[in-house]
Amino acid sequence: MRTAFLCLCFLGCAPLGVDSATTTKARAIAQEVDGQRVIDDVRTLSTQHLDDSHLDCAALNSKLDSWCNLSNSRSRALVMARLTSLGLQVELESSDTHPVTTNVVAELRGTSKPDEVVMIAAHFDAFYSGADDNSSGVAAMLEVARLLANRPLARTVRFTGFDLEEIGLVGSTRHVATRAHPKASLVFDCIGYSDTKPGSQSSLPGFPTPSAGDFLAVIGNDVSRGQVEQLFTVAKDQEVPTLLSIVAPGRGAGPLSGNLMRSDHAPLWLAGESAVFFTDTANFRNPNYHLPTDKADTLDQPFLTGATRAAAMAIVTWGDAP
Amino acid sequence: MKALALLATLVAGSASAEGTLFSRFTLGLETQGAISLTPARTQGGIGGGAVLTFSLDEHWLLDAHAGWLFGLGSHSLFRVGGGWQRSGTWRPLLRAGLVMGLGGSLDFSVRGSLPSRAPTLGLVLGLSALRFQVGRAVVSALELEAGASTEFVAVGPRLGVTVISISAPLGE
Repeated sequence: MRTAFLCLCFLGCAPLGVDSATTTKARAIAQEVDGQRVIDDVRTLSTQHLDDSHLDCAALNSKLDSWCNLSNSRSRALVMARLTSLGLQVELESSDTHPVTTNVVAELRGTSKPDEVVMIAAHFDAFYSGADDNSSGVAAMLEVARLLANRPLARTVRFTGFDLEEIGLVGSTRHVATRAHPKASLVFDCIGYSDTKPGSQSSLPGFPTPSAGDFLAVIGNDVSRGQVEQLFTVAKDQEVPTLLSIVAPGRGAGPLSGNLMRSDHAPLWLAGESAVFFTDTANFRNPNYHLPTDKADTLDQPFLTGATRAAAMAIVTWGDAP
Repeated sequence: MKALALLATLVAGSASAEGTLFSRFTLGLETQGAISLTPARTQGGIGGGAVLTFSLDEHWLLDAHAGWLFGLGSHSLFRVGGGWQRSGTWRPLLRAGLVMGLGGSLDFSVRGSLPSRAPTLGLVLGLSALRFQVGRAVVSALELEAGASTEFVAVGPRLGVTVISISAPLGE
């Protein structure tokens, strides 16, 4: 019994290796990230949010002004159109339960392990123009989809646009409740804002973050710790922002790590699954968080480009590694 | 375990035969909170544990503590050390110890890599100012502990508080 326990612990604790072929491939694909295309997509999405119809905040029973400036229709249509144009089979995952949600899901079938799924996801609903939150994440997901569309990986890659993250992770919760869980997941929420000034990054007690807000937070739970370590191995010395990893204990759902669960990876963590979350830490850095000033020209294009590169490396590594 | 019980009985009996007012072994239960804060790891929580104390004489003692804390995941906490206590009804204790935390923690990458899952080790000094002999038991409240901690990547402070501790002699 003790031997079995030690073996399980050893297997669970051992970092997952990355072979050199996968590392080389991941880095090469990441170099193809087109930063101009990514920021252009952010601008398009932001403009569309401003022009979009807003959700009925009275029906959402909220007195917050921001909730009366929440939109999702045109951004959903853009995600759907772009994934379709890449030749992917797009599925709308709808729920009529209040509040009504429609996630966008497309899968790129794996070549040798099609039953194992690696998910890349971002929520497409946004307050006001929502450049950082979360057009930046949506644009990064679309760029990774563009890079992979014609070169499938060993595992199936699922591209997912989540609906209504902002009012309580509604779309992602429904997705996790109804779909087979991925082997690995990468979720974006706010990945385009950077500030190198000392003091620009705030934090919480027990979170020893740097003073300058110029790092990309890579947040995992114990289940995804090996995948975080794989990403660090592959991204070493590459053109990506400084990566700061935070790994929460267990499935990540402890009472003192609640601030790490504020986006669409949380339903996966609560289900005991692996998920890694990329973020610029949102309101702990970005003064425009959930305000009308969250516009594309406040973002740092090289930072967003680098974050997208890191995402491409992560997905290729997790999708192809033995 | 039998040997320990026999030893406890013999030592306690010996101490009693010498007419001293203390017992060699005491076993206590305590509720506590503790946190270790290094640049690579935050580990802490609240919980409780047990402490076994061996008195060398009226003032000097050795102790071993085992506890379980919950908050950032859950982890086991072990401490071995020793200290000096005042005799009499008011029995303040000053102690030092080596601490080991094993289990859940919030880990942070430092210079591009996460710390290994090795235990967190620490050196601590503790002060139990509100510690009293009540009959044969010793009751202590708000014991404070401070020191340094490491997970072999970085070093940071370690803080702890024992809210209440009650211990009683083993054996006669």
